[in-house]
Amino acid sequence: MTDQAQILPGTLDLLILRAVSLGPLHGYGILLRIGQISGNALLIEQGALYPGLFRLVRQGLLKASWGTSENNRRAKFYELTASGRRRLREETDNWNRLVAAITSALAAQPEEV
Amino acid sequence: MKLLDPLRFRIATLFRRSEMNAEMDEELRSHLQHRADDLERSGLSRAEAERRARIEFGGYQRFKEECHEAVGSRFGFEPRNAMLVETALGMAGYSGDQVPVMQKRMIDALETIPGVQSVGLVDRLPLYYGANGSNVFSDQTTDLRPANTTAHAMMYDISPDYFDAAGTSLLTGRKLSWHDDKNSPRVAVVNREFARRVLGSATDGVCRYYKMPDGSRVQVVGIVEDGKYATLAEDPEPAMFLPMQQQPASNESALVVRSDRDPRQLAEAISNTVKDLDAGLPFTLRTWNQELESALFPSRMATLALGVLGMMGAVLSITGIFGMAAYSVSKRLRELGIRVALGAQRNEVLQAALGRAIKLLAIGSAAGLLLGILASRVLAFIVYQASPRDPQVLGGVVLAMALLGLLATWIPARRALKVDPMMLLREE
Repeated sequence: MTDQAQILPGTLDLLILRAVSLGPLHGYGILLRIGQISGNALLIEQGALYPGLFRLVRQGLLKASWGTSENNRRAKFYELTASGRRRLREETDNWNRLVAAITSALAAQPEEV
Repeated sequence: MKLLDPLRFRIATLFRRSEMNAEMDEELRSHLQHRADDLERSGLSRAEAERRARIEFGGYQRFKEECHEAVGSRFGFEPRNAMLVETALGMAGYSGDQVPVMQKRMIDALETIPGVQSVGLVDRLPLYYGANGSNVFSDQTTDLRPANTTAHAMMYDISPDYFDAAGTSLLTGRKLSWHDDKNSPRVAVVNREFARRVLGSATDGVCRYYKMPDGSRVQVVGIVEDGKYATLAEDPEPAMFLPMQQQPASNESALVVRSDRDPRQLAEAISNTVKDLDAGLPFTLRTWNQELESALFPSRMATLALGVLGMMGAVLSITGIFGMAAYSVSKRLRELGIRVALGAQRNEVLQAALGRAIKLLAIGSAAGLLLGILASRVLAFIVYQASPRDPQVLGGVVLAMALLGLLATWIPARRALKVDPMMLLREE
């Protein structure tokens, strides 16, 4: 638990889109996938996931349908829509730019200023 | 049919909400089971795993509230935590170019009040005694005759922060800005329905153009969620939001002041701010909820009237059934007495006394139900977004009618059972 980081506000949507971009998943599966692709370094509250999912569905970025899970249970599966895929691309670019900028800002040496 | 609108809306929200709750419950259950499966695999007993999964998940009520919030406001705006300042600039002598200047000053001043999150201006509030509208044309249309209209859209002139203040979610693109003025190209933010009908796509409409009746091309820069504009029960209507700086100034306008707390706490600060700007400016100050109360008063009354009518119908049917059952019992009292004297059992007496009444009741109910299903087109219009063949609706109707029938036959049935053959024979 000590190595896990709370996610930054606003990044949950990006993580959900990324997790779902690898294939349709149900809610609990999304949590597991985010854990898996982040090397279990990111902690997402279980209850906080669903409002995020509903918001993305409403914005037309995800679509949902009921199906049967690997545990043979009924579950609601989410997948990306075309505009979800595009949004993921844009947000990923934004994120990379932001990280590059902050990294360079934090690495700045006194003599460079 | 207009009269039924409020009822239709009432039922629709009820159904949508219960449908959504049911789906949320099922999704939550599925989540907890999957989590419990994992915990069970790590060596816990099933019961312990399920308990642990529930605890981990956290508060159910909060989960539900947040989910409802995420799915969106039912009006397309959020009346909670919003105060409305309605000013009569015309009455205070403002005209022409003075109007937008004063409006901008009011917005700037109100934004500085501590606790205020955003301030937006709109020429006419949604759901406020009618709405402005205009025909719009697709960009390809060259002959702008009314017959070639692509859609009739609700029209609102707004300030840049109106969506923030009103709590209307921007789905894609950008909101309006103060730079969208008379010197820059005409732009608009539209709702999803507008994008779908006029731009041809609910998600890819940003940057596309449409035309106003005067022939000017307007570029869509953002898309917001659909809302309710003229009446609560309306089907999704296209709406466009135009920058007030590009529109003729409107004397009548409302400022929406959104805060992070109960907005009534800010009432004094808001009214002082407006008075400081112009002590002679008449204005009213109320919460958006209060405003909606008065705007929705007629439809509330109609709902109430319909409810009363329904109650009267139910009372009428109870008295009818009661009368019929009581009559048939009293007419056959002697016969029942003889039957009892000959050793008839309780259920045999009941069957003799009320059999016909109940048969009639059953036939009537079945016929009514059948007609109801056949008239599903009409019902679908009244019970919007809920199928009249919905087992919940049908079951509810049958159950309610059966209970009413039972209630109405209760007293005659008791009377039939209390028949005393000795007394009846003595009466002769």
